[in-house]
Amino acid sequence: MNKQVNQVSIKADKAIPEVIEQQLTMLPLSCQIEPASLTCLVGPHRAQLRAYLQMLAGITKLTEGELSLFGRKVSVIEPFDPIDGQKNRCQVGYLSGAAPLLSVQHGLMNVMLPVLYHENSSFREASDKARNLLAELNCDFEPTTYPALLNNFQRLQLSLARALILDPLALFLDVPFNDLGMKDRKNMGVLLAKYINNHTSCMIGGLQYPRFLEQHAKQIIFISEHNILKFDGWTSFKQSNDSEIHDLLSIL
Amino acid sequence: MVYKIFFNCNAMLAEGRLRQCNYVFLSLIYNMLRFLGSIGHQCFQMLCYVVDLTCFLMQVLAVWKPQRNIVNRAVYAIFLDQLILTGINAMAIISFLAMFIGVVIASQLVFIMSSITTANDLVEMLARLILSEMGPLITGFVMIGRSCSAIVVDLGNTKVRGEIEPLAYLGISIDDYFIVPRIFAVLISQLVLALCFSAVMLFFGMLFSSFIYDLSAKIAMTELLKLINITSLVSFILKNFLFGISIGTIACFHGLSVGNSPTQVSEQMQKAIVRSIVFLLLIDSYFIVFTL
Repeated sequence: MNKQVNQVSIKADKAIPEVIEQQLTMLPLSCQIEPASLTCLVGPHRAQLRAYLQMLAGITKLTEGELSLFGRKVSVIEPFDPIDGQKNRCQVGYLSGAAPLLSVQHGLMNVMLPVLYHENSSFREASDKARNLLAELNCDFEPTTYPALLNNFQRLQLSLARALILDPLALFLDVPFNDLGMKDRKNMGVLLAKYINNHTSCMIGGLQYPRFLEQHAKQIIFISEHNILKFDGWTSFKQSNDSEIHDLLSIL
Repeated sequence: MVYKIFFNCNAMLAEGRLRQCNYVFLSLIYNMLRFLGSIGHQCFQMLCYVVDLTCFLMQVLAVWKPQRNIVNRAVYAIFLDQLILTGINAMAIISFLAMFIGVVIASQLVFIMSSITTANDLVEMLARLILSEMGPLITGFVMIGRSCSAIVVDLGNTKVRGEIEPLAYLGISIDDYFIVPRIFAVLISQLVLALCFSAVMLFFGMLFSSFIYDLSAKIAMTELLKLINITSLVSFILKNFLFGISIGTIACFHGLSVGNSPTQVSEQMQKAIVRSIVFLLLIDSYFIVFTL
């Protein structure tokens, strides 16, 4: 059983997420995400990809099929149950590049928040842990600055720190290169590369920085309204003959 | 059905099968039914709103299960922030208002009533008016104008900017982190501020009256202390408890009712303020009816 858990962290079997936009057709997804590997979901509809990403992260419910997260079926986990659901959520770090940090709290407090909430650590312990993590992430700004006063890259650094502060087993990246210039994408790619080797990682929005996918993606899953295709890396994805993939790549 | 009858009448009138006077009579009935229907609709909506609000409060308070730490540090930090914003920062304005209103009301009351009644009755009237009515009500209105609107705007803007969802993805309960501390901060602030308001108002009212009119402040204070008993204290606490919990719940409910558009923030704020005032007056009416 444990061996099985170690080999496959996340397993979806004909899983269909809840429909977010009524116009989109959701197809059943079957896939396995191995530990310490990056899987990228790509496709023409961001909302559709986000629905699948949140389903794999155990955030949204499945309408059909099965999903197991670290050996446990997601259907039996209540998302916000004080013990079960929250323990499950602590195992999953979710970086939301498009969604901002809490603007009424300063950067350090934003990073400390999950530790204070879930582990009930003292402010000193939480602050030390957050400062160490921010140093690891090369944050060269004053951590007590409010998010509104930081640039996009610095805000993403804080978001990444907030996702990693509870030492999760899996990392879900929702458009991590959102609104970044070329240089910042490269820096973000370097930062993420440090962590995706130790975590089960799954991301969307990877096509904003294809070089990152080329270097790190072990699996690329193309999802559209008509097709779900799996590839074992950037090269095979690029060489695909599928017309929808051609259309998608042509706009890069 | 009413619409159907009316449209049939229209058709009959057009075809000449209905006389004009009958048509006027029918349209009168139709408009009356529409008017009654709209009143019924409003009443039903109000009832649904009360049910929604109660369910919201129950759901929020349900976060406290035996497994949860009573003092969660993240929640505690927010609670303290809110207590400072809602309670401590409002102390100055509440004291000033209490002093001003105390001088105005008490002096007027003493001036009018001193010729027709005794000092003891005057003190009782003053105590009843201030402790059971003016103290909680004026504090409640200040809380609505100051804190209820601030909570709706704060929560609404946080929701519009999409800052709430990422926290839920990290397993932080929205009710626990955003709502419970705000409701409790408003509740405690209402209790303490109402007490402070009543005390300051009575003190300055008596003091001012004793300077101007023939009323001994010492006797008045002694009489006043005699009037304070367990029943009046419980009634005061219960009233402020209900005021506080309704203001806090309505503010949070409307704050979270904001969708994705910033225009909804002001819309929800208006609703929250008006409904809080209505609730405050309804609760107060209940107390007037059952404590007189």
